[in-house]
Amino acid sequence: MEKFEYLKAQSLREAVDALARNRGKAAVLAGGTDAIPAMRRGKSSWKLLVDVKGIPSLGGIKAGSRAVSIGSLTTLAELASNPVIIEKLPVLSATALNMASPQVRNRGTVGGNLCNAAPSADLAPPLIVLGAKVKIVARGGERTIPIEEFFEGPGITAISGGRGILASVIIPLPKPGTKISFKTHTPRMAMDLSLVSVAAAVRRDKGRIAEARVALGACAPVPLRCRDAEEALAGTSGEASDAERAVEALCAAARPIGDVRASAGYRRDMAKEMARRALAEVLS
Amino acid sequence: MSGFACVGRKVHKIDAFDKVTGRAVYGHDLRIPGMLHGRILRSAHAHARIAEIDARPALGVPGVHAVITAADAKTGNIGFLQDHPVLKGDRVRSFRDEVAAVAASSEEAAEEACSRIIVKYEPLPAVFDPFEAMAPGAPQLHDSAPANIIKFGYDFNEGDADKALESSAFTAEGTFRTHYVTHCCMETCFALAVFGRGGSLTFHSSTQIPYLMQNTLSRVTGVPAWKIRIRQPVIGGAFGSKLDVYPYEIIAILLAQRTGRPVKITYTREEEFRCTPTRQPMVIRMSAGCDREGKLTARKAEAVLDNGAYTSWGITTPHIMLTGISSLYKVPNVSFKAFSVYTNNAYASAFRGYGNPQGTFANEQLIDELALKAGIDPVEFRLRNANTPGSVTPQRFRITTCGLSECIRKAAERIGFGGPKAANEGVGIACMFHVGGGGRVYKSDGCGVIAKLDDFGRLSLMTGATEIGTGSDTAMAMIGAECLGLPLDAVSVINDDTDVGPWDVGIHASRMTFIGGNAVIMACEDIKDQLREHAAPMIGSDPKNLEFRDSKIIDCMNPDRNIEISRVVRAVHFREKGRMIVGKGFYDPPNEFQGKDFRGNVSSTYAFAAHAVRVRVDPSTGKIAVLKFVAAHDVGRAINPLGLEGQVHGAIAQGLGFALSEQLVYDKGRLLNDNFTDYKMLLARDMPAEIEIHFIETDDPEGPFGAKGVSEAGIIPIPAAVANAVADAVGIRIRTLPMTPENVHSALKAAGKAT
Ligand SMILES: Cc1cc2nc3c(=O)[nH]c(=O)nc-3n(C[C@H](O)[C@H](O)[C@H](O)COP(=O)(O)OP(=O)(O)OC[C@H]3O[C@@H](n4cnc5c(N)ncnc54)[C@H](O)[C@@H]3O)c2cc1C
Repeated sequence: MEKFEYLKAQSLREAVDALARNRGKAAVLAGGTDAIPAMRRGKSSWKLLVDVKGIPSLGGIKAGSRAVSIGSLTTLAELASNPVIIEKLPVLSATALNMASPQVRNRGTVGGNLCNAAPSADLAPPLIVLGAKVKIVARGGERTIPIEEFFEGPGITAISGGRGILASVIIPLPKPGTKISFKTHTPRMAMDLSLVSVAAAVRRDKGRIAEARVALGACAPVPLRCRDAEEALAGTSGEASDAERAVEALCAAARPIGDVRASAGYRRDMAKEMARRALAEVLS
Repeated sequence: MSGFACVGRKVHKIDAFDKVTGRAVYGHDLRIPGMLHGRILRSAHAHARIAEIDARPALGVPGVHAVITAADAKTGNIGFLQDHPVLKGDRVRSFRDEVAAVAASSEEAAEEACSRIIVKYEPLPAVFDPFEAMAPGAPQLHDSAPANIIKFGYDFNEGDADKALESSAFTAEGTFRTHYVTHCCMETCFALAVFGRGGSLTFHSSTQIPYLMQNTLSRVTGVPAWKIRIRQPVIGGAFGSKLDVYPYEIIAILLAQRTGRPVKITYTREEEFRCTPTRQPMVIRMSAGCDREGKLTARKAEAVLDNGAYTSWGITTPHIMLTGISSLYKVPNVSFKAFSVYTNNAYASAFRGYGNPQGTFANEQLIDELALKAGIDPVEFRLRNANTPGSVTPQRFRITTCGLSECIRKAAERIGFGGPKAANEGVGIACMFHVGGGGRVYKSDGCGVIAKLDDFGRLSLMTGATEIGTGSDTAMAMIGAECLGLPLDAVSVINDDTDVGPWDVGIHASRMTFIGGNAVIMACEDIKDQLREHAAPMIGSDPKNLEFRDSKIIDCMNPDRNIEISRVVRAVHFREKGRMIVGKGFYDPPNEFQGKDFRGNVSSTYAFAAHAVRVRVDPSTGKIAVLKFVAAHDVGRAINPLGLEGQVHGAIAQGLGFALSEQLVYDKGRLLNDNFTDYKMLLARDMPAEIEIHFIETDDPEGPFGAKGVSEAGIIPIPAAVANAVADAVGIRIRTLPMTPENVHSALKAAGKAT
């Protein structure tokens, strides 16, 4: 591993400034469960790591009447066990509980999972279908963008290269009548990266589907929101044939790669299967 | 418990607490003043000529003490056929090849120095498939092997298999393919070489063969064997991977020689994956036949092994694969051919089961297919053909004790053969045959023990028997405690030093408890004879009537006459013309070294087992869930049932990993998954929710207190049992490992059975 400088930032401002001064050469360090292994293997080499774990404003889960805000430093273990999340956004607690191992969950953070921007990042698809937004703090100020716009490529986000810090994720509380499902396919039962994943959220109003969101993980350079699939469902009564049309649309959007973990063909087959399962659950 | 005080009790391994509390000192923990760190530069090509090596830039790195290349390293070759140069001078034949090495004051400096060495290669065409390697025009790896076929093959014939197959009522055949897996020891490889007085070498190593290693190190480096001392710290796993001597070990010695300092080489995990040998992939074409009653008539097998670029023990694994093919069940006609082919892949070595898991994968699937054709239940079919005590197999193995039928019945009954099954659920059974009373693969199969009984009643067993995590130390200590009637914690096993322990051939072939245990009994008998002679006059008894229990010597005719063992020792010691109580034992089992005809009773008893599994196959993903696992083993006698369970549990994890998920994936010789993210060992949640382990105790007359070897046995039937269960569940036969979700899904698709 190459030598690097380490800065334990005391405030958001100090962190943002340090990143800006070392643009392209510095990165945020949260739990380090993605960043440190990448540096050890020579996949990335930073001259400076800005540790943000000492910045209190980046932590904590706050519930409002219409939205929940999750600080970027929230660990996967906290997400899995937080009573507010378990009650109001159970898809997130269940997802977090299925990720990694207890040790990694105690260390890895929500912000790290999103900023690492792996196409397979497990929190991305459920957050996309929940309509989450991310709050970004940069030198120029604060801004909030829809989470699907945050991802720009494998390992690349709207703020990579030290262009800002992810402060929190803001999730509107699902409206009554909403069903959410997230299906991942992993060869192992635990400690495994998703070969493909599909999240779906559907809100019915008087039998008709008033709103539908579908997202696909590990099947494109970024976690993908699939509007064609959403349109296939919107306004319908959610019959099997509607679901099948949405599955087709989703499969058409999937552009998986073949690698050491699976062939592109198998990923495509599994995208279809996970889509079927997720939709069957939300349409039941 | 069969009248034993210690044997048969469930005890924690004697090293368990040190291991789980972090107190155990492994090779990685060793540090010696002045010690340097060695690192190795590996090839950048699968096959290339080395035009030039410029190592000078490496010497400029601060902290570097020495850089060596083949030009400096005048050593002999290593490997089973001595086809493996330690440092490669003119040619590399695989990505793992050692090109240069550095010794420096820190790991980082050594790594930096390696990266500065300039090597000019002239790439050569390479070959990665044994069949392509045999084809005309394929690149040649070694002059000694035209068409890359290594002149070390297996050809065994008993009766006339072809004729018997022709006249059989039913036959089944298939081509089976097994893949690359590796041992995944918790501790990566290390070597620490320290030169001392008069050019003597102390070599710290996690080897499984300390005494054979002395010999090899001497031959290769020229240091006289009597000046070489092997020290073994606590060993973090081996599974066969440490049965050979590897280049990095010689390199550590060369660097220590060159620098006059202790030199340690420790592998990174990535290096461990890329550079340690694998289980040998095989293509096995096998046929089997039976008569109308389901009696086996013949078995015929031909295997081609991918040897990789150099030859280690991998090439000899057909030896043990053959034992299962010739001798699992009674089969009169057997034909077996196997040979290994050089390729530019990683090279293969020994791995738990030694070819037998691969052979059994084919063997036991064909049994199910024959049973189906003959219209006989697969359990009944196996029972009709099961080995029996007193029989002799085609390789002239003399079966003494044999619990195979009981194992089959137990496994079948507990898994619920013939009972109800849910959709896509299936049950499968597979058996195994393996050496269980040592294995005479060297001229000696012996093990020595010196037993010292001290003035306080403590028994020290000094031995060459190596502990690699199988629990052999605990078993040997239990046997010592049993023999002398001492508490278990009054016994210690000292086996970390070739200067102290008497010779042992090495820990392989599931032999350590069997052979080492018998040596302990012999040494303890020696002590008991001495104690009886001295104790008898002290308590006025006949030496013949003296028994050893509760730390006492007791007259069995008159138990009031008894004396503390330690008192006898002191009485003999602290007097004029005193004596010490030291016993010695060297056990070399009554087994035979096979001739070129592969016949001879290679083991003094044999182990049997039956495994049954219940699986559920998901037809839309190809994922196999193992719901229940039943393992029934003929263990002779369970010395430490807890340790045995641990061995079988471990084998289930490793065997299911081999069957379902583990695989080294290479792209033109380059390893793509050198990490635990993508090399998928199964984890706790992947293990069957229900695991039952049954021990069938056949009380072997040659075994220590009746015990047989069992450590390797557990992995052998697993891939076959799972494949049989998958066939039962969804009606497809998987003949290629591993049965990953993707591979099973594609087989289901091909059969039109995927949903
Ligand atoms: C054994 C193991 C198993 C795993 N299993 C899973 C799994 O099942 N599913 C899954 O999705 N992931 C998994 N991961 C990946 C990883 O643990 C998660 O992505 C985790 O959430 C990362 O969080 P972290 O805090 O450790 O990130 P870090 O490693 O600290 O950071 C990751 C990246 O994000 C950047 N970053 C972090 N925080 C911020 C911020 N607030 N603002 C801007 N940039 C930031 C860093 O600079 C870095 O580039 C696993 C990892 C390991 C080692």
